Amino acid sequence: MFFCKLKDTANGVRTLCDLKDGEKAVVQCLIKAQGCHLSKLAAMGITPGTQIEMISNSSGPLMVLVRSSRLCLCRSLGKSIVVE
Amino acid sequence: MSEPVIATIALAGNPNAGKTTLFNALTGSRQHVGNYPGITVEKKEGYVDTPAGLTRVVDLPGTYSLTAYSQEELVARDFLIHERPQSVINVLDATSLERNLYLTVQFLEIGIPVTVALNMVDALEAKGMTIDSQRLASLMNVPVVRTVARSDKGVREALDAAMNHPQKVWQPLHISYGPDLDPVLQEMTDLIKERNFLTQTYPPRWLALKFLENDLVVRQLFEADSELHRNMRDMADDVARHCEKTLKTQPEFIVADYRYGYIASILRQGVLTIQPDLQGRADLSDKIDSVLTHQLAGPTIMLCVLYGLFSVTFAIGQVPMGWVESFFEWLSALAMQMPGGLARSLIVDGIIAGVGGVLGFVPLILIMFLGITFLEDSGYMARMAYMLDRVFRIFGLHGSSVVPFIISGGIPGGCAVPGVMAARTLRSPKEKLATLLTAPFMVCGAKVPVFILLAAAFFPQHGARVMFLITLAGWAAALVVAKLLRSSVIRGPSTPFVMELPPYRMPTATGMVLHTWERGWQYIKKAGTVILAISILIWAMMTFPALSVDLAAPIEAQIESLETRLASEPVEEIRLALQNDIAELSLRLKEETLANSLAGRMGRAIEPVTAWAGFDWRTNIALVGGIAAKEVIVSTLATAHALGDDQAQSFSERIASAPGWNTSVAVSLMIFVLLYSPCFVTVVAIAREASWGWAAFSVVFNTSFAFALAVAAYQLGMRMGW
Repeated sequence: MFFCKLKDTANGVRTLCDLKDGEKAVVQCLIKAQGCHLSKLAAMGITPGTQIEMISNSSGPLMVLVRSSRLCLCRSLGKSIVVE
Repeated sequence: MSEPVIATIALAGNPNAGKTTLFNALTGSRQHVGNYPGITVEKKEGYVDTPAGLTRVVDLPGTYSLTAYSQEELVARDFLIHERPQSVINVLDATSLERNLYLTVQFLEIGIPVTVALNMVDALEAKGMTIDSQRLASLMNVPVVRTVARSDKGVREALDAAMNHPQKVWQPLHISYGPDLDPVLQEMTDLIKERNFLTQTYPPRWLALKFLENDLVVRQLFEADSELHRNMRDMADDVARHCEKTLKTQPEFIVADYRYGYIASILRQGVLTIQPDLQGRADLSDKIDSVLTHQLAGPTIMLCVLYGLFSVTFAIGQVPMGWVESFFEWLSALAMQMPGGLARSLIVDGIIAGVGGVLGFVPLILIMFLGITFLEDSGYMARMAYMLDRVFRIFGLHGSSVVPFIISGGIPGGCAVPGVMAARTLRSPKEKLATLLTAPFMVCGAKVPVFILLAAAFFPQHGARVMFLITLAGWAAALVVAKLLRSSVIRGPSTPFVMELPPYRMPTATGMVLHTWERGWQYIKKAGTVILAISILIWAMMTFPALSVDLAAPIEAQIESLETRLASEPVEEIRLALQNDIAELSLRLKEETLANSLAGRMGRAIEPVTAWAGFDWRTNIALVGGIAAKEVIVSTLATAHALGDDQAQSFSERIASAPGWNTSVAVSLMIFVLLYSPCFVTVVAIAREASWGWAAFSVVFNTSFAFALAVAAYQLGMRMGW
């Protein structure tokens, strides 16, 4: 429920990095890459089932709206968040 | 504090929830800022008079959770568990209730009586939200007080509620963690109770939960009882394997998930109502952000803001700086009334010149801190980190490296010691090391006076511009060196990061004044203690050994004979010429004395090398002293030139007209001071964060790097005839 395996995400799964400015999505699961940082994501409110809105997705870090607070996260973390 | 303290109340909450504002509103100026022993996390406490008596209020560091992953979180939870305050006031940002309650649940699980301060309720309406605080109180079984800390609303009520909390003993909340974890959690709790393991200090179920969450600090606790530890570990490993296989997850994430589930179940029962028609509308912060973090406009505005900060600081700071300077001139004139000799020299040339040289910059530094505090408290600082991350990645650093850089003096006026320590939040050891080693290139508060002095002396019309360029040079050096290090000695991939961007807020006047004063006071305190001691030491080194009699006697005899002639000379023109000769001779005497002293000899010994960069032996003394503390550079220059010349001239004018000084020397010196060895305290901090090897590396590498650039600048400057 929390994590997804890398092979599940190989084809056609959208991650946070694929969202356009202003687009909303629901977090499906996280791709396990760096354990302790994912627990930080949980403390900041990014868990499966959470609605997430992209505020700004340009070349740099992502700016998103989660549980009514604004977060900024790097693209590598964005890639590990699978959304639908 | 003569009155006895009747209770201790802790303030806790997420960063940016308004915890510190509430703390300021409660305690006003009766507060004290220090550090928790051994670490850099700030410890703030204050006192409040209540009808029942004096109450101590402790402002815990802002955290999102109570894991063992960060110093702040550890400090917060250790304080609650070991010091057992009467009650904790949990400050919540009402506009982000769900996320904020995640921490509240963790306090409840420890069992401490919690009072919820629902802060910033005034911002709810604009967001189209309403919160039924009574319902929240009854569902969570805690007192809930609505507050607007910045306008002092509900602050007292929150404290009263905490003081009169109905729950008198610790009662840990038990929430269900589902069919996979609950049984093992129960088993572990029973085991802990059976062995009576630390049950006096920690709630048993909380220990079990933390053990399951793979909390390294708690796991370490259990090493005291190896049998229990082994049993617990086997159970935890079993359940972790089971979760991994069936749910593709780990216990710590199941715990997080159930906590949010528990919160959602409460909010759904009519606590939080969101009007959907108002939800979509962008709030003020969004509108501001669309401009301030715009891809092109954002960085441009950021540079303008920083440049504006310097211009304003210098424009306003000049006036009070003049006052402080004239105060010390007056003081030194007063001390000159004393009979001549060593005591007078110590007071005038050692203490007043040294400490006065440092304190003269206090007004400027206070104004600069005021500006930085504004940027921090308004929420703009976080946006700067966001915008700069893009750039930082290129140089092998981290978005979070911005914080250590800015604290170290990325905006002039910081200090590399807390900066280096702030690098602790970086998880990746490689980026952390690169940040540690390059943060000391920033313009710390102690370097600022050197630049201000040289700018005033050699670029009198362009103070702000010089400061701005130097700041950019500091950043450039840090980034380039970081890139060099990250592609040679410390190679490796980058680490992910996540941080909150708080909504824009107008900082409160009290908060700004208190925060600025805290930082300014630390600077002043340092001038009164460390700098005073080093000033006296350097004065002694510049005074002893005294000039030998056979060297001093002929000059002294000459002066004496001229003075007797002066006393009986009637012609005005000859009198003037005689006075000139006497002044020149006493200058020579002082020069000889200084050159003969211990410091003078040291300075002279390295002069052949430093001359490549244009530094004379006096500058050398100052630079060597600067390794002890950078503040000493200005004070030593002041002392060295005061010893050589006691005309009533402002210090910068004196430097500008001193022999051997020109624009090239000034530029070369500025570059060297910016980049050379970190001060002693910073070196110790680097050693503690990395190793003595890396600390030594930073001393040697930075000094060579700085010297190479200084030589290049000086030689180029001299060829160009500056």
